Amino acid sequence: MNTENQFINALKNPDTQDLAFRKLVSDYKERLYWQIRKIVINHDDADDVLQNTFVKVFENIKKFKRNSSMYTWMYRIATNESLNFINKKSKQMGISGEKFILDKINLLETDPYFEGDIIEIKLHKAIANLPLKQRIIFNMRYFDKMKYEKISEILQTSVGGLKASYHHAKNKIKTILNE
Amino acid sequence: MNDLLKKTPFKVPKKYFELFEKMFLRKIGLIRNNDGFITPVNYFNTVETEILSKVNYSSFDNSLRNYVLSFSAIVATIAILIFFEENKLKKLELEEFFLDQYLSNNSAYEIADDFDSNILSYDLVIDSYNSISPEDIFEIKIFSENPYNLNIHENE
Repeated sequence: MNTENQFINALKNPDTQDLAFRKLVSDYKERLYWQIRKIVINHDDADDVLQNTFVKVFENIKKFKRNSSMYTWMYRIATNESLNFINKKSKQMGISGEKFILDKINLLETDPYFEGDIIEIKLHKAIANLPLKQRIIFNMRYFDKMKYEKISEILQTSVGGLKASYHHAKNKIKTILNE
Repeated sequence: MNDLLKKTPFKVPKKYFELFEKMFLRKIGLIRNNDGFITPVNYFNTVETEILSKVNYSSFDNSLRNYVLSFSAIVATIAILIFFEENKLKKLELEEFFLDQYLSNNSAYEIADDFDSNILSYDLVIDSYNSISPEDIFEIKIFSENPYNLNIHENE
């Protein structure tokens, strides 16, 4: 039995789950935070989504079928939680998810938790113009240098579809940056 | 030498030296490339405590308890089914036993009489023992004794 399997068993066992979950949070909090932060942009929102993600992971660990790695499974939960968060907030405000993100990007210059330069802000603004799912695909491929197979596993989309989405996203960003 | 340096035609991009350190550290992996995003100081230590306080371990225990209860209910149902099946078998055994008793304790003429009157059946055999209490039936079965093989009649 490999280490990950043993760790998952420890998470499912009521006698060891407390300690195992502490280790899980400690090991994965930063990686998941940055995935979420790239989607929701704002630190406070990322903080909310990160906490919800771990609560969901805890509540659903007994249903985890081990069809993928633990991290892939958590990454999927984090992505879904981020999208749900954007949909919920944008609905409350009566705007689209894309508009919600664009508003957040426009506040980056005054955001105390953003220290990027003008070029980075320009790139984020261009990315914010993409449809939500295309934006997530672009982030995974461009920033995280993730393989299409891995993205496909997380987003449960075909590799061909992902390649097409990334290609369209890249072209749109190029056009916006050249304007 | 100094004059030579002053006259150099080479230039660097604007803010090159300000950005160099950041870019270089990112390149060698000492700074995670978060594309300008940062977090409040000590955030990752405090968030861990917050997450752990939100997790309700008792809810996990409750769900486990529910599984145990469901499992117990299934086991109880199976036990009841087995009990009824066994009882059915015992009833059959009892019927066979009564039939044996009937055949061994009645003469051929008596049995022939019963056949003539078309009333021979398990029910008849069992009915004929209805007057005996259940305790006696089991006693008979255990000790293979009945009012006939106790030779009560002979002694009389």
